Amino acid sequence: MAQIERVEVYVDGSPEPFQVITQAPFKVKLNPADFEAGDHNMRVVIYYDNGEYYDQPYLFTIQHNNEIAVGHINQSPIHSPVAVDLIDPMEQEGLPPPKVLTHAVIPTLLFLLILVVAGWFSFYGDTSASAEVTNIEPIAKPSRPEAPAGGAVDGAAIFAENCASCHGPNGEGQGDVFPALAGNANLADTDMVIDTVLHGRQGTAMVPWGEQMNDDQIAAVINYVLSAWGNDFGSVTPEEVAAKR
Amino acid sequence: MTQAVQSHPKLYESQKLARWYFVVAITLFSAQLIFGLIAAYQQIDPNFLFQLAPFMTNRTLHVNAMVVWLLVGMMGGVYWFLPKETGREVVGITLAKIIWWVIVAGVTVVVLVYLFVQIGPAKWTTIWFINEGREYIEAPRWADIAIVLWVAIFLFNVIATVLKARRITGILMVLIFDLVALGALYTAGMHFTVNITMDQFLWWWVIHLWVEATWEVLVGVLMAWALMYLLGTSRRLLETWLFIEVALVFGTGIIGLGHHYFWIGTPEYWLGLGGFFSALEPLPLVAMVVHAVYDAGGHRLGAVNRPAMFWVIAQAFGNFIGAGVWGFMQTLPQINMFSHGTQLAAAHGHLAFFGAYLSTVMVLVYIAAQNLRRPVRIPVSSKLWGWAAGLLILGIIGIGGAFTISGFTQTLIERAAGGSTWAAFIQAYTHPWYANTLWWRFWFGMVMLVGFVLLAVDLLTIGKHAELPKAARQPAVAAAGGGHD
Repeated sequence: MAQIERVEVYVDGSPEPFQVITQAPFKVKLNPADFEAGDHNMRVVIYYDNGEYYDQPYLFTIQHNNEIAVGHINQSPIHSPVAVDLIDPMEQEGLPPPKVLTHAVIPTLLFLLILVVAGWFSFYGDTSASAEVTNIEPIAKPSRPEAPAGGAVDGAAIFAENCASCHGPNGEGQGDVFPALAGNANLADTDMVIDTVLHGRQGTAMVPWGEQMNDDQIAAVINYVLSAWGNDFGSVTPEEVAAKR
Repeated sequence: MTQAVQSHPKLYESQKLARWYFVVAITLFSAQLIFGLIAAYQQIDPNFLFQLAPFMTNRTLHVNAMVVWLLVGMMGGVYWFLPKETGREVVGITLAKIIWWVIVAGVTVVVLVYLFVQIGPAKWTTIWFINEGREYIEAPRWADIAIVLWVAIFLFNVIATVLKARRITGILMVLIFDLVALGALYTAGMHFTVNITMDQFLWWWVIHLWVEATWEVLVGVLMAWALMYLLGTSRRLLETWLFIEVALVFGTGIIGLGHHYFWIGTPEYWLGLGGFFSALEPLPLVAMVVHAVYDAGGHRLGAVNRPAMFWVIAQAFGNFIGAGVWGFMQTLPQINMFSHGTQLAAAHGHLAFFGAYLSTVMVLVYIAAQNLRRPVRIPVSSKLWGWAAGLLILGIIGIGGAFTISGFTQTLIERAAGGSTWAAFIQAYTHPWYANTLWWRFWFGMVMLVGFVLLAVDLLTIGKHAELPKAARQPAVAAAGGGHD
């Protein structure tokens, strides 16, 4: 396996090499301050100990802005056995080494401190917060409308209390989301109506009412809907409702 | 023919690990898009996958996948550049590899639990193992702890490498302190209290301070390295800008957090504080744009990697428009009074995450793609990258625009004109400006999906078939070599 023994760098067509490297590591490092601002072309010629040599073209740009000279390689060969780099001006001045206190101890302690605070808060934060909220009175549970014993159930009242907020006080519905009940021909299918009120309707906003009302109440509200606002779609009985539960 | 050179570019172990970070990031990006599309379609037809995959689960996966893939992509970027910056292999790389595979396994488990368990009873076991229940940071507690541990090991990697290499730069110093904040602020999402105001107060530390402050600083660090690599920008210039940006991000952002405190039960002084400081928040983003334009102009865009350079520019403007303009649009208390919680927030979220973070990760993956395979011709380019970038950007502009119009409809019809009544709610949601934009979101999401497919193909093939001009077929070309750097 052939080894590199010499690297020559030629800049801007000059016949004299700009840089010659004869020792490993064979890395071409250029200082941007050595060049004029603008585009430069460069040839890096790599000699191997078996007599072969490769001639590789590069293109780089140098800028002198705000008294800082920087460079950038714009084009380089696809395969190059040596690294070519332009040195950053700050690197030339040399960077100070890290300080253990500033760059390691303080950040580590800060991180641990925050973990301790977070851990403490996870365990005690919830108890202190629950002590804070005890002055909030619990919200009273809404009382469930009970069917008057033996008497007729008022379907209109149940509708006004439970249904009108979506279907409208006069069954007019709202937009495409809550269908109108007044004059809705689908109500002629009373089995469907009982099903919908008892079990709700999947994929829509209609919720099931079977758990919250008894058969009499559900029959009453359905009969109200079937006959109110000029509707005339027949009637249902509490027994029909019970059969569909 | 002599073969005096290695046949593959030499990568540090840390860069090989970064490659896995990028592969997982791009895979999760596809998951984000797919769950986002399902959620978008469920807005149009609520019956779609009704009981199998509820909208809330899809949205959780959409948002969580995004947070994870963007963070993974950016951390991958640090593992990529750290050995170049310090000039040596990352210290503790074995530990970094172990925690990485733990995180990958953890993410898989969390996704499966989201999909198949979804929710649990209101008990501590649910918080620890199923779903923490807080919007956007639903991850169960054990996964939260794993994430903090992951950041801790990441911090150790950086500090130990700096000490061992005996080299510190301004960029590395900013990175170290940012990682402290990155681990620390995430813990704020783990405090469970029964007081909803306290809960929201701390929740915003994660959503605003963690994502908007520590991530933005991380982006500053990564962009500094990317610009140095792509354009050869001087370190002094980059570090000066980085310090200015960090000062502005924290100076405006910490109290600017107040704009989230307007309506959650905090004292009234947050209206003034939050309003004033959040109005200053776009400043660091303006600084980043000026910086990018200054650099790119100074170097006449002579980048070594065309797609990466394109995404740098997209990042500068996307961050400013998405995070700055769309954020400022609704941040003043007088406007926020009517607009909070509408789809304007979703518009801001989509545009800001795309502009600030997705673009950053794109810069990083393209820089990595340039160095992962056989060395490729400089400047790196391909036929596909422009189409991929163009479709992704067209898609996000369409989605952001659709959300903006629906948010405007809600703000105007439901809130301002209708006074937040039930009838006004129905009126806004059935208004054509709202109902039709649901379709726009979906179709522009499809455009993004096509863009993603092109991106994936491009990343897998860029530089693979690098055609060399005849003149370049010199003996040197036959030997595969070490590439540009």
